[in-house]
Amino acid sequence: MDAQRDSFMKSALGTLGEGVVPTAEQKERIFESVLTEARDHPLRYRIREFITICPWRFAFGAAAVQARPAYC
Amino acid sequence: MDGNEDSKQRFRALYEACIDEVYGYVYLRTGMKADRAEDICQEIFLAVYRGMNHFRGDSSERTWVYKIARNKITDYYRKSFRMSDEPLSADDEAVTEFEDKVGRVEDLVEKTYNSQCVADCFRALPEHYRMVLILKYMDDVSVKKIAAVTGKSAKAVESLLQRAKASFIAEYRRLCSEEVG
Repeated sequence: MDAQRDSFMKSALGTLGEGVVPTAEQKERIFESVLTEARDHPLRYRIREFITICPWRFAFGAAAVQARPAYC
Repeated sequence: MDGNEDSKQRFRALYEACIDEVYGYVYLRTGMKADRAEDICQEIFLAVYRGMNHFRGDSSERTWVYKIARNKITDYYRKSFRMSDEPLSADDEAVTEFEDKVGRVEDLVEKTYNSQCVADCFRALPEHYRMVLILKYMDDVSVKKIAAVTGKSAKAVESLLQRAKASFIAEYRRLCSEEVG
């Protein structure tokens, strides 16, 4: 019975994927939002990218700042 | 044409080539809600835009975009399951109770499916049910992998799947009885 149910589920859910596309307005809206976000937050992104790609550099940098002598 | 304009043009071409498929992929996997699908598509294409200059060409650009989309959807599933209140117990009694309600499905299997009706039944399910059903029956993800994504045990996922399946079939019987009858 389980196999039959699985087959039913596969066939039924298979129909869901048919013809779902965004409208022209949605496409334009997503496109514009991406460009706006990319333009407005480049610094925040670069910092995050730096931390993600070179976490050790960030960690050493932060440790060096924390450990600096009091007279500096 | 400066570099910025050049990458914008390149992005536009890639966006136009992939948005329809990516949106369809995301829409189905985020509960068929247009605003949520838009938000996630935005995240996906923002990652594409930012990563375009680092793309090494190991695969086609389309494959690369799909990989980003898959990763974003996996993140979405993780977050959603973390926020889900449903106790994912492997309670066999609860599953058996559902099984009894659903009964056999021969009468359903033979019919042609009405996609609108299937979509309505699907929308009526709780979000975590929809997610496991999509993972299992559309993406062919194993129970073990679903367990890894959701952070639950395989047995709990198995139980959740049974409940989700039973709920969907019960809903299908209720909403689509004319087609089935």
